[in-house]
Amino acid sequence: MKELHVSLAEFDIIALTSELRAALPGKITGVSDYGEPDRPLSIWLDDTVAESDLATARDVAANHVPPAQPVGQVDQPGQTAGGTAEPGQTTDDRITALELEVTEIKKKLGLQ
Amino acid sequence: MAWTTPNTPAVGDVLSASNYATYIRDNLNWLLTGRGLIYSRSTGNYTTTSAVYVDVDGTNFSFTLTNVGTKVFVSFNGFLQPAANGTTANLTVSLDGVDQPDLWFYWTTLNISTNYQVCFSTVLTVTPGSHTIKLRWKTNGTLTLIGGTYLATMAVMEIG
Repeated sequence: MKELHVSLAEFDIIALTSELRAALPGKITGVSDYGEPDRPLSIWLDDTVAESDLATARDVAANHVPPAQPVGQVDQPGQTAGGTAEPGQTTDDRITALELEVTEIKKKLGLQ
Repeated sequence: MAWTTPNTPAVGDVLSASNYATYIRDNLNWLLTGRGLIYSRSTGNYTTTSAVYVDVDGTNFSFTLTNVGTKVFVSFNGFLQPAANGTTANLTVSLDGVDQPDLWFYWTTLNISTNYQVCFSTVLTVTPGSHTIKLRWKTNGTLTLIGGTYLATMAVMEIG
């Protein structure tokens, strides 16, 4: 097992793992995140990987863009707080949509 | 501070201050505080997508004991959260880099709506000397060990 450390400001661990596995089939064991902002992620690779594979993994990580979350989706572990505007949605529409989400969550939690 | 094998006094020997400090005071202090190590994660979740065993946290959930005896008690408690239904989870510890058999796994797959309490304990047989014990995990999906809302705590202690 080889471990490659990479630092990413924003990431989605599920998407990043998929991108790495697509780029290096059979060579990526997985990714670990340690829940500390300044601590790099670990990319776990098979023992057999070459230096060029490590470079590929670094490139994939560097080009990783966390997918936008649709409205109403709750953040998953490893994801940064998300949510983006729908096409044609104004800022006010977005704020209203988020307020509705908050209301729904409060209802589910019995806070409202 | 380390354990010092006590001397064997002969009849008529006088207990010196030096011997008292070395063989009695320091050893008692070591017995009280030196035989165990503990880490509690109070903030920051861990997440992995690794399909084979990897360290949960090679810095903090990693313990190096220099033991005199041959038995080390290991215990862990924490909460796991899967990112999707059908997630598998396995936890164990490694001893000097060698993974032990699974110490915890769920008998079926995990569901996203639930946090699963994990607790296990085991006794490792070792040779006297320095040994490193690490918490390890693997999954078929995405797994989070909660480190804030619930404490994740691991302790290792020489017991004999």
